[in-house]
Amino acid sequence: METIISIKNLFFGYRDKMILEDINLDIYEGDYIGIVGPNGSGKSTLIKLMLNILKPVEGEIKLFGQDINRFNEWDKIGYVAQKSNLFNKRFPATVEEVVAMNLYPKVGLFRAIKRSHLELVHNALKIVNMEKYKDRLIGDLSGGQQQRVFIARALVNFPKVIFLDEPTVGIDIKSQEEFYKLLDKLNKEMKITIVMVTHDIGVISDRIKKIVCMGNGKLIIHDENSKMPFEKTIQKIYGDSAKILFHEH
Amino acid sequence: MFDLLQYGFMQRALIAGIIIGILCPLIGIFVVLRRMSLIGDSLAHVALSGVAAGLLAGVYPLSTALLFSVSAALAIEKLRKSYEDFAELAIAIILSLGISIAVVLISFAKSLNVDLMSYLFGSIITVSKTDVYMVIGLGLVIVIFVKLFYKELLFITFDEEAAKIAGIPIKTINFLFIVLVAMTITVSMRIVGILLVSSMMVMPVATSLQIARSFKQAIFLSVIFAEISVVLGIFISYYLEIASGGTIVLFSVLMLILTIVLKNLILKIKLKKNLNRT
Repeated sequence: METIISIKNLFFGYRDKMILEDINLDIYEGDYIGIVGPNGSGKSTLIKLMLNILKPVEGEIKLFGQDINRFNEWDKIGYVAQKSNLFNKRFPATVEEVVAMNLYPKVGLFRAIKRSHLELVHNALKIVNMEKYKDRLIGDLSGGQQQRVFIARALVNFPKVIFLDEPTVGIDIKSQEEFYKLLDKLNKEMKITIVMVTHDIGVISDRIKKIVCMGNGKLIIHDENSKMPFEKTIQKIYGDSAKILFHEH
Repeated sequence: MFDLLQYGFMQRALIAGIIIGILCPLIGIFVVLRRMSLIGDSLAHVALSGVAAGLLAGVYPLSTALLFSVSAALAIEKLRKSYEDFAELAIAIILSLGISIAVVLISFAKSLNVDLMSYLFGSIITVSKTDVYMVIGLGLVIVIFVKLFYKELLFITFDEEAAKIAGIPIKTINFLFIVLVAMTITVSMRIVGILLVSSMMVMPVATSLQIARSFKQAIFLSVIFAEISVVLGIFISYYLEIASGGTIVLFSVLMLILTIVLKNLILKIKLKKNLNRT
């Protein structure tokens, strides 16, 4: 199985405060990983480090076996940001224009989008069941529909891995359920590796086999081989009073 | 009305005005959607100090204005990185610097006040041939840049972080873009005036955002709205002997109000129709 991401002895801090200390993590092809932890535990920071938006103080990150600073196959990577649902709602872009954006580096500088590129856009919209909304303004859609469009934008390049940073914030429960079903489909049927930061521990503990728990600068991986029950791991991170509330969305 | 076109100054004003009517909204749409509307004001005030410096030194004022505003634009881009969470602070810092230098230079050269007034409020009579050549030259550079980097500008404007991850060279494009904003302001201030140049970048865009159904449509409508207000503004300012900048911007405000009223009216009618159906 190909190692998609390999993190070794990673340290990161803002100003004089260390947020991540000696982090080690390997993510393999086909993994479906949830990253959980209290606010400020460094979940989003870890994703931003894996995407080269932030630079580590110390340590090594490899993407597809290549040092992240030399990595240039960014079309293998899709990203749905936490602030995707915080974009300017009056932005006059259609769904089609938004999804096509991720193709721009492929199209190349000074060149215009062609019909073949639009076919890729329509195909990505079909996967997330949003094809009929292609001419609608992105701001006119509901939160759940917008999030699907952002998934389509991440999918348009046929990525091998998709990073999602708290993708269900501000989305109603019914849309969340559909959203998680869509992620299952991407992972199981399309074999896309998924790395998702989330607060929804109750939901992901049902669906996700490999959970990265973060707190106090440290990282604990909980998977099928872990001897410690998941609730105990969560209590280690969130405190003894923490309980997992399992609920079906 | 067409008799007026026989006058050289009117031809120059119209040529410069029509080009500005394309440039301001073309750059303005990216400025507005990146929530950097104040940048126009800030750079215009720096350009004013450039004009004052040029007049004092006996150099072509638009060239010093261009030099000053491009330097200020680069400083804003640098400061924006230092104050990432307060991008508007960078704009306010440069605005303060620009206006203070301008005030000092103007107080040195009291006799230049008449010339400065035409730059402050815009004037169609004082547009020279050199001004027109400069507007055409810089205008071509700006239009070609937007045409070549349209996709990248759109992506960065919508989501800078995602654009960076996708591999768009955002540093280079941001750098070039801010230089173009400074260029647009410099070429526009002859007709619209320093005080109102940023309005020319913002108002037509604000109007188009009311009704546009795609990004391309928003650009097209912004240019149409800008051209209507520029042409009407130039003619009316001549007939009423008033400053062209104010007249042009007043027309663009009028268009915004009309668009909002009409849009709300149409929405109400549609709502009533739907109510009757149910």
